[in-house]
Amino acid sequence: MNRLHPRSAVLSVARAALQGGFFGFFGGSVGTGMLGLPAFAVPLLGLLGALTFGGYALARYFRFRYELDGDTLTVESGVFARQSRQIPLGRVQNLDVEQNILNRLLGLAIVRFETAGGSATEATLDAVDEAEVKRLRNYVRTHDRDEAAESAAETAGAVSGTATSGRSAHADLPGVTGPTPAHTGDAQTANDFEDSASASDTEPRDQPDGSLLFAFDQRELLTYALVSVRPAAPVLTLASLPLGMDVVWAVLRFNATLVGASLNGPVIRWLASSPESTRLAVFAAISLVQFLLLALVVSVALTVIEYYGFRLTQADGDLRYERGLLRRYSGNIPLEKVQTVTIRENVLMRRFGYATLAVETAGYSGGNQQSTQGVAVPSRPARKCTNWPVTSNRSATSISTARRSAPVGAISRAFRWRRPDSPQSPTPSTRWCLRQATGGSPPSSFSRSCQRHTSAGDTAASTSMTRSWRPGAGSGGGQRALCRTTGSRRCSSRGRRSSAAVTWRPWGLTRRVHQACSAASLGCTTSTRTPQKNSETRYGTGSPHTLQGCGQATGATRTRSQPRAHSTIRPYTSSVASASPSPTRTSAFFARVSATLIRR
Amino acid sequence: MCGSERFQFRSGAKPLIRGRPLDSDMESLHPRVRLLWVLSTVIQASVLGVIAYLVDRFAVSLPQTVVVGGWVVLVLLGVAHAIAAHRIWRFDLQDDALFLLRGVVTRTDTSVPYVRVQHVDTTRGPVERAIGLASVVVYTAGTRGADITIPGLRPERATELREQLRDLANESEATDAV
Repeated sequence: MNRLHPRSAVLSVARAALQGGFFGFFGGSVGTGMLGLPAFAVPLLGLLGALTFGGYALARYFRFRYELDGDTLTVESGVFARQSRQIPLGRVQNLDVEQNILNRLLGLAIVRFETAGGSATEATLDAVDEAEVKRLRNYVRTHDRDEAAESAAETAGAVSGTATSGRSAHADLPGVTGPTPAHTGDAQTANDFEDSASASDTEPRDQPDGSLLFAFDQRELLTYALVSVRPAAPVLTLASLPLGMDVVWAVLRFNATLVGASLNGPVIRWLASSPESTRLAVFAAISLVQFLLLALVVSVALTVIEYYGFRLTQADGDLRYERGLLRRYSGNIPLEKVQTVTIRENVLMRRFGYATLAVETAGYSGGNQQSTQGVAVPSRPARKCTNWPVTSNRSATSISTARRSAPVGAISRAFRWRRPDSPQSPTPSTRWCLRQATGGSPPSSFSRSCQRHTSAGDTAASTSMTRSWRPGAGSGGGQRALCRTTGSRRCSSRGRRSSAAVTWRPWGLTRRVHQACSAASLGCTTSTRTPQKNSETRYGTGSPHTLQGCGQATGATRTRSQPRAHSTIRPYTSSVASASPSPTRTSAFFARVSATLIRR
Repeated sequence: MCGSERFQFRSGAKPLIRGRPLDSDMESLHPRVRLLWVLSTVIQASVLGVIAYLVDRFAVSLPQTVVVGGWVVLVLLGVAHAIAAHRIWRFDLQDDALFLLRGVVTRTDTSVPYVRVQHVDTTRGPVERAIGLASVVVYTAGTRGADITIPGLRPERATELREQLRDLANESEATDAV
């Protein structure tokens, strides 16, 4: 079993002792004031607090051990309540590394392991040195690769017996890179990607740092920072204004003189004395513009700090990112763990040909968006949302003719959103979630489909099933079934928020959101119908995503049968599950997207 | 596992529903877990008692017999509940899922497919360590309430179970893991 790095012990003990000291000091001063303790009790209590907290931190350090062994990460922790945790490495969604400034000076890093379970980070190693980070990362990565090779071999073996066409197409996939000629269902897409995929094939496989997919240079970063509007920036600016109140008053005073007010006192008195309305309006406009400019500067600064030195690389089955000016973040995202791919663009971005490509895994719980890796990619406007499922091919073609828009075109093409009954429908490849919307069987009741999933043991997304009943209710009636799916909770709560944030953003800056999710990772689906007659279908995965205004095209959108629109959650039906791809398919898709990114 | 006609009544527990897996073959918790549950009830009842005392002291005066009687009734209920819960609690490692039966008033049976197991903990709180027991916590994919606790295991059994579950989760990986 390994311990954390000794330097980190020094750091955490010092931090805890400082906290404890402050606590004791504060308690002591309150005590002398209210309870009449003698004056020397203050430093004494401070010392006591420092010793207690520091001692506890030291004990925690000595109780914390971890080990990577075989295919498991074991973590033992806890001073009073002891905990021993085992995480199968195959379940690790992300491995993230964070270095704040202090850690960077000491050559340490905080390593976090995320799995899809639980609401907090599953294992935090705070902190280890950089050589150990490398070792952990390599260990997890090589384990994943061995695992993938193993399972691919297994699938191939199993399929050679039964050999349905769709399945064999899956088996023919060589790992994560690109399609093969035998993969007929996806032939068109295959052609589109062939050159790029083979280009990525020629990359040496065991290259330690992988191939660079994307990196910002300074100018691009600045452009991206300018065009990506952060809604948090005005709020942050407003909140921090009171800190510089003198400056604010001075600026307001200057504005007032600018509009020609005769000042002989503070600005507030001039405002209170009800000046002429035109002057007031001009004054307000000037102040507002100044505020917005300030907010823009804050927004740019935040974005630059967050994305400084962004690099996205691909090494075998993993995406690897690093970013950050003050705090450096880096991490590995195994491709087969990717739940959704999102392309987002606002008006400004569209004008300058940028978009954000976000990748999400199931590893992060609510609020922690640090996994969503935003990348600016060149893009081009396309059709409205209502046209997506029907005209995606057309718009995709128009996109692909544009010179600098490869990634968006690639993703749109890979979607292949169309009705399953259309003659040229390439069945095995229409694997994305819209397929479910157009071709899903009629929704059964929640509990029934839930049970079917667990009993059939198919690829449904329910994570566990619970039945409960009360005494007196027989085995037939009065039961309650509860399906937990990967995304159910987010579908119900965060999903709604996300839809408000993404599709109904009040000032309409974010217009278009493309999202892809693999059907295998689909957790549940929510259909709602808003008072404005906009049908909307929601797909829960590790993260929610929403399609709005696509009602007619997405056939599964239910209309009137739902008593409470927002809370309806149902797992996707098994007919779709049978058509769902293996995780390797997800990686194949991703490899293609990445390959296209390389081409650029 | 599902031979529904083979009713056996071991340790006084009854099969919950006809047609459900019989609980006779399933593992039950260590008897000492009742002590753990009773202790936690005593602690809870005592907290209520302290609140009642404070209310009596600073606000409305309460008759002493009611407070003491309430405490005794609560503890007795807790004892009865602990005994019943221990008789009902069963768990089993099936071929593809962990199966649990529990609940006194509201019966709950849960099956957790191994393929959805994310990670496994053993935990030993201070009281559990004093009594010499441990719990196993199984986490499935999902954000809240997605963890399932099996209390009242001997520490060795808890470790063994954790490793068994870990291995089963690893084995089922190739098919459809999250």
